[in-house]
Amino acid sequence: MKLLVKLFLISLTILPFAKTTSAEELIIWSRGGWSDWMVEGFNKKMADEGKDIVAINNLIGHADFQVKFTAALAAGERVDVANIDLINVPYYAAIGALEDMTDFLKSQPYYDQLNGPMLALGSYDGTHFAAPNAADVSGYVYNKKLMPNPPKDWAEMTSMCEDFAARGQLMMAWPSKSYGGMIFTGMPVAWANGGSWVSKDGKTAELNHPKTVEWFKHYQNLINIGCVPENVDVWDWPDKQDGFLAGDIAMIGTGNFMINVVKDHTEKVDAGFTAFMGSDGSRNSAFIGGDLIAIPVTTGAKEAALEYIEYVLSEAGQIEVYTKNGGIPIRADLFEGNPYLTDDHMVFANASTVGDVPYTTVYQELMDPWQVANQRIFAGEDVQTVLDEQNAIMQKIIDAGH
Amino acid sequence: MSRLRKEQLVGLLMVSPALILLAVFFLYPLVNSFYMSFHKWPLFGKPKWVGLDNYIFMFQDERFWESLKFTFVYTLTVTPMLFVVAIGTALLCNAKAWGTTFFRSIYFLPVVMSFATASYVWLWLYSEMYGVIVYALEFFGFGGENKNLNVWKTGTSSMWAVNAMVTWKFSGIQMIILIAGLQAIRDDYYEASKLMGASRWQTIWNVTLPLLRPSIALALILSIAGSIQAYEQFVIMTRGGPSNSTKTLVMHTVDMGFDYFKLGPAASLGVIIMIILFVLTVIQLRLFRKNY
Amino acid sequence: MRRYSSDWYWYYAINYTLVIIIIFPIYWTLISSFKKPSELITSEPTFYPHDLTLQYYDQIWNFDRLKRLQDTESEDSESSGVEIESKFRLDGEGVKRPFMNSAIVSAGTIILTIIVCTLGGYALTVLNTPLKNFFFLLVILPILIPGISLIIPLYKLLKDLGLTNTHLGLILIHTCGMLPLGIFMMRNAFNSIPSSLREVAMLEGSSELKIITSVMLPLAIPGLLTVMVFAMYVSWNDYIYAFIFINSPENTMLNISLMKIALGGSQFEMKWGSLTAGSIVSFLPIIIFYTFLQQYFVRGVTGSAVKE
Repeated sequence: MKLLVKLFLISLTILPFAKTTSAEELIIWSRGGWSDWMVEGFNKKMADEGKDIVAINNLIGHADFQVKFTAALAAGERVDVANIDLINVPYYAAIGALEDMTDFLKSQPYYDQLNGPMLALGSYDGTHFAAPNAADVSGYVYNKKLMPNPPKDWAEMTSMCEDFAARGQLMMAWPSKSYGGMIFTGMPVAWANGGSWVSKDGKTAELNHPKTVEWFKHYQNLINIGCVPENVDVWDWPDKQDGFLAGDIAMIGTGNFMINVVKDHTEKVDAGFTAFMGSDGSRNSAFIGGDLIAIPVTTGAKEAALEYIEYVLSEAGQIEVYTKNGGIPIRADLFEGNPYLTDDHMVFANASTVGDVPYTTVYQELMDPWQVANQRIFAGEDVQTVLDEQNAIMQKIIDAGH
Repeated sequence: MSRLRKEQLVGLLMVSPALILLAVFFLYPLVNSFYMSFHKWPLFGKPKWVGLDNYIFMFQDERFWESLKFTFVYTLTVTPMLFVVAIGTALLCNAKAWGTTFFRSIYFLPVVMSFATASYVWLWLYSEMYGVIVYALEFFGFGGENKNLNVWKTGTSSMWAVNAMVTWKFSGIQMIILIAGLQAIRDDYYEASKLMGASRWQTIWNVTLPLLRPSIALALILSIAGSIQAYEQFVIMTRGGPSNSTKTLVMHTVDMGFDYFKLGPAASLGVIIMIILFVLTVIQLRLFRKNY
Repeated sequence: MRRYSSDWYWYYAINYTLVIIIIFPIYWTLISSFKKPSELITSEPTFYPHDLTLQYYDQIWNFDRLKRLQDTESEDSESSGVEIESKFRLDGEGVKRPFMNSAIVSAGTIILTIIVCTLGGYALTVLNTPLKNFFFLLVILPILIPGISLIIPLYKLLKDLGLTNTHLGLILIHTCGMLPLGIFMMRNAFNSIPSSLREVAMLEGSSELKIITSVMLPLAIPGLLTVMVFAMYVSWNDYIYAFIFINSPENTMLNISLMKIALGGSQFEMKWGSLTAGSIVSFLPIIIFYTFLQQYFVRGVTGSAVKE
C-alpha cells in the first residue's frame, strides 16, 4: 500500500508536464505507419525553409480510426490534418466536416495526374474537400511453387481449378466473413467483368447487376468444383492469408502491402502478383483503397495544413517517403522512373489507373447487406435470389440517407 | 450533537467522494446521452428536438430485434456456463489442501489477459486449417469424415465457440468473488454441520451456498450485465456473422453511432440497454435479498 | 474434508485437468511469441518452438516507428532522402514510455479506488448513513450501461475540464467504473464483520477513520485485495478510453501501442508474432501484481478466522 503510493508519487515527478515550443504546431491524425516518415520529411523541409511550423503525428492506426475521429469531431477536438479512410470521406464532406480545398488542388500542375476515383471520392457537389493521399490497391497474389502461371481469364481459372481439385489441393480462398476484405478483393473481379455495386452517383444500389451476378456464380462454381475450402463462407481474412503463407493455398486476393508480407515466408512461398480480370480476361480492375487527406473544420492552422498536404503530394513526399515504404503513388506521372516501383508494385500501380471505389455517404451501413450476401451465396444459396433481396435492403438504406 | 446525528454526518462525508465521482463521470454523461436520444444529433451544428422519433426508428428496425434476441440467447447460455465453472473452481480452491494457492492463480490467469488479445488468440486456435482446438475436435470425431470442421459455420456453433472462450476468460472473475465470500464464512458453521453428520454435498447445499448469497448475487449481476453488453468477443471473432446471426446489442449500437453516424438512435439504444439491465438487476437483487 | 482422504486422487485429478485446459491457450500464446514466422503458420503445429527467436520482443521493446519502416525496405536505407530529427517523436523508446503511462494510470486507479470504495462501502454498511439503499442503487448504475455509448458526452466533459490527454482523466474514469464492484465487495466484506468489534473500539474512544484502518480493514482484507486486483485489471487492460481520450504520442497507453504494432501497416494485416509477444508483455505485470497480492490473501484468511 505505502509502496504503491510511493511509486505513484515518484512516477508523477518523472513526467514532463508541458512541452515548451514556440513554433506553430500542426496536429496530424493518421492511419498508415509511413506517416511518421512523411511528418519527419515535412518537419525537415520546414526547418530548411526557416518556417516555424512543427508537425506532430498522432498515429492512430487503421483499427477503430473511425470511432476515434467521429468522437473527436462531435466533441470539437482540434485536428489540423486528417488521413481518412477514403470510403468514409463522402459522408464527412456531405455534413460539412471538411474544409474546401478546391482552389489549392486546381492550382497544382499535377492536378490531372491525380488518381481519378480517389479525387472523385473527396469531392461533393463539385467542390474538393479531400486530396488523394495513399493508395492501397488490390490484386491477386499467387504462389509460383504451386501455380507457375496465373490464370488469364475465368475459363482458365475454372480448368485450373479442376486440376487442383483432382489433385486434392486448394487453389483459392477468400474471406467471405470480412465485408471489408470482400469489397477489397472480391468486388473488383466483378468490376473487371463490367459489374457494379452502386451507381456512380451513389443513388442506386446495383448489387444484382447481371455482370455482378456472373462473378458470384463463377466463384460459387469454384467452390462446387472443390478447389476452394468448403467452409469459405465463414472464412476471415487471416484464414486465407495464413493458408497462403503456409503454402497450402495457391492464389488469394490481397493488396500491395502483401509484397512486404511475403518476404518473411520465402521458404514456402514464391510470390507473383497479377491484376483481377473479367470473364474474358480483356479488362482488369482493382479496389483503390487507402487514405484521402483532408483538413477538418476543427483545424487551428489551415495554412500550415495546406503546406503539409502540398508536401504529401509532392515528388519528395510521394516517391521518397510513400513509394519507398511500399506504397503506390497517387500521381500517375510518378510511375515512370520511380526507383522504388518494382515489377510487383507496377502490377498494382497499373491496376490503380483502371480501378474503382464506390461513392456513397452510407458506405458502412451498406456493408451489412453486403456481408450477408457474401456469406449466404458462398454457403450455397441461389445467387440471383440473394442478390435481389440484399440489393433491396441496400436501396432502402441509400434512400433513408445518412 | 447526538451520536446518531454525528454518525449520519460522518457517513455522508465518507460516501461523498464516491457520489461526486459518480455524478461527474457517470450521471452527467448519462443525462447528456439521454438528452441526445430525443434529438436528431448531427456531428456538427444544431441538434433538433424530435421527441420519440429515435426510439420509434429503433423499434421499427429489424436489426434491433435480431440483435436483442441474440443477446438474450447468448446471456442465457453463457451465464450458467460461467457460474458452474466459477463455483466449482471456487470450492476446489477453498478446500484446505496443498496447492490451492497455485490452482487459484492458474484459474485466475486468463482474466488478466487483455480481452482483445484473448479473442484474437482464440480466433487463431479455432482456425479451420491451423487451429489446435479444431485439430483436437476433429480428432474426437467432430466435423465428419472429411475433417472440415469450422466452428463459425452456423450462428449456433459460433455462439458456443465464443461461449467457451468467454468461460475460459472470465470464470476467474466470478471465482475470485466467490472465494472472497467463502473466506468470510467462519469455520464454526462447517464444524456445526459436521457435528450434525451432514455429508459434503449437504454441507455445500445447506450451509455454504446460502451464506454465499451476497457473493453469488454480485457474481451473477456482473456476469449478466457483462453478457448483455457483449461486444469485443463478437466483433473480433464472428464479426456478427454468419449473416448477422451473432450480432449483439452493443455491436448494433456502435455500428449505429460510429459507423452509420446516427448519434441520436445510438443514444436511444444506450438508454434501452440501460433500462433492460436495470430491470434485470433489480429482479436479481430482490431474489437474493436476505437478512445476512 | 480431510475425512474423505480417498477422494484426494479425484481432487488433484480434476484440478490438474483444469489447469492443463486453462493454461493451454496461454502456453500457446507464449510459445508462439518465440517462433519464427515460418514456424508460426504451418499445417504441422509444433508444441514448442524449434527455432527460438526474440525478434518480436526486440521489436516491441526497442520499437522505433521510423526504423521499422526503413527495415521493410529491401534496399540499403543509407541513401534515404529523409533525415530523421528525433525531437518530436519517441525515438527507439519502444513501449517503455507507454508502459510507464499504463503503470501510472493503474497505480492511480488502484489507490483512488480503494480509498473511495472503502469509505463508501463502510458508510453504506456499518454507519447509519441516510438514504443508504438509494445511494447503493445509484452506485451500482455504471455497470448497467456500456461505456462506449457514453463516449461522446464523456469526451465533451473531459474537454471542458481540461482532462483529455491526461493520466488523471483516465484515472478518474476508471475509478468511477470500479465503483459498483468495489463498493459491492467492500460492503459484503464489512457486513461479515461482527458489529461488536466496532462497538468495543468506540467505547475506547476511537474515531471512525481509526476504526476503519485498525479494526475493520484488517478483517476485510480478502475483499480489499479483490478490489485492488480488479482495479488493476480494469485500468491496465482498458482499450477504448485510452484509445479515444489520449491524443499525444507521449501519453499513449501500453495496449494501444501494442495493438498498433500487432496490426502492422495495413488494415487487414495481423502479425501473430507481434500480437502474442505483445500480449505476454502486457500480461506479465498484472500477473506479478496478482502473485504479489496472493501472500496477503493467505494472511487475510487467517485474519477472518478470528473468533469473537
